[in-house]
Amino acid sequence: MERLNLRVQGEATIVEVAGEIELANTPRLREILGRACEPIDNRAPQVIVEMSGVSFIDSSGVGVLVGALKRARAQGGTLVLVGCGVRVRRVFEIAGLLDALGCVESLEAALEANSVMGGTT
Amino acid sequence: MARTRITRRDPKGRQPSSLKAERDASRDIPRIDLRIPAVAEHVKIARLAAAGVASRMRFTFDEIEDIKLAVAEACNNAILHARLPDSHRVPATWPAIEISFTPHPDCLEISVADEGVLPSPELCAPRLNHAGFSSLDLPEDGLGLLLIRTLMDEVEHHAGPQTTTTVRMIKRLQPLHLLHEQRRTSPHAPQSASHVEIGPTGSAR
Repeated sequence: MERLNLRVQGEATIVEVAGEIELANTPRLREILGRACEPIDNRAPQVIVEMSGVSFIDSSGVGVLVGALKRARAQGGTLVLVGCGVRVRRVFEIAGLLDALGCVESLEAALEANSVMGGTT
Repeated sequence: MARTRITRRDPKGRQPSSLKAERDASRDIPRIDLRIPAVAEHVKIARLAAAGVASRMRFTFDEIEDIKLAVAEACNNAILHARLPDSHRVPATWPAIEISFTPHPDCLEISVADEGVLPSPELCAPRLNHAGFSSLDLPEDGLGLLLIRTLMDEVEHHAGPQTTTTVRMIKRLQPLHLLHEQRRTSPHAPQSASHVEIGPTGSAR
């Protein structure tokens, strides 16, 4: 993976990922997403995963994203993907997870979606 | 095997050189064998090799990406289910994955063999639409074989001696006339699959 960053913007936790998500680096991604999905100040996690720089993802990467989505929702929070490329969306579609994972086009749309869905513990 | 003869000539009677070159290209590519340690960090090598072989055949960009992903998934499966080394084993005896790429005139045959056991039957489940499922029921694993079966045209896996497993996959080449029709109608299609350049991250560019 070329980039894996975590930052907080307002009430959202943004995880920026770039490069290739593959079996070799999914443990690290799982760790970062796990931290992002923890409640902050008793507020449910609102996680945005910025994926526009992701050029490759395999099933292990999809599994990590699904796991993070489950964790966020189990705590009443949200997880939104941003900027998924054509190839990434194709992998989601083959796995039957395109609707469940979804993907919005921009960070602004993701922040808007998070504020609409909200989430409290 | 029946041979299809395709001739397209310009007014001066010359056969387009690109058409003839594409038809003959796959016959000049030898079988490529690759042996890598069953370690996740080396799967990228298998993907690059797959892209290298496929790009010399007349696969499209998307088909090459499909092949790369299928090979990666087969290697991942081998790594996850391979015999774990004993704690005292030195790296020189690490379990290995053996991959072979065999170009044929009408397809690319790929086999991935490991020292593991077959995946459990539930990992071979057909694709489901999870849109109506509770998020807590969404699958986190077992998607690898589903991807392979969808991306490749033929897939079979079988157990060999000493708990080895081999996954054999085939990706068929599109008929030439269909490929050229796609290129003719799509201004953004690449002119030749053999000219795909592999970047440092292993992605075609």
